[in-house]
Amino acid sequence: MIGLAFMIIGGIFSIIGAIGLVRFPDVYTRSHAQTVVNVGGICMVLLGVMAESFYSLSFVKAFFLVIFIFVTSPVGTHAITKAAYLSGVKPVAKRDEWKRLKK
Amino acid sequence: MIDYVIFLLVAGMFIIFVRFVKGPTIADRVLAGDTINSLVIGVIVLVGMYYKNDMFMDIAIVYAMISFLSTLAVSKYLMGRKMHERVER
Repeated sequence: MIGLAFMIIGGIFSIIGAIGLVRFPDVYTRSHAQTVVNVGGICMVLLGVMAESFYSLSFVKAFFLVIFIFVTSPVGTHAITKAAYLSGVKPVAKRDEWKRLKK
Repeated sequence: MIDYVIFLLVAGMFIIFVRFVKGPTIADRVLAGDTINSLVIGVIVLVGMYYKNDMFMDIAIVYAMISFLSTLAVSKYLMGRKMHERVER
């Protein structure tokens, strides 16, 4: 029962993140919404799967998947935003702290 | 009850697909594609819960690894290019 609650919360989080991904004005702010979908949505769904199938093999697989997504999601997002910054996408914010990356 | 959660995830996928189509730069499209990949991982896991089969979880793990590698490869490939300028003739 608690697993279903976790799953529904994860689905609502992924809907919220999807709306943010459409409505935000910039690449760098959309990466925030993407993290909401990854960590708040999919990791919550996987925690629900873990709580639903306790003491079995899929518990271990879901645990490894949660750890994997937790580690690799920020790495991918940083790679995408660094590529976008180095190739000249202008941020919406006025203050630009990373000018030294551009030489 | 799991089918409603699958419906929520697929609805999120359709909403993200708007950004995937009309993203102004390439980085938006890569970001939207990465998000759709992670939602597909959740849908695969939930379909495995629905059919009560453990094998779907292995497919989800391999899918997560391949999507992470593809994201890194595409962002490494796009790192030196001009994304935002229009082509002038």
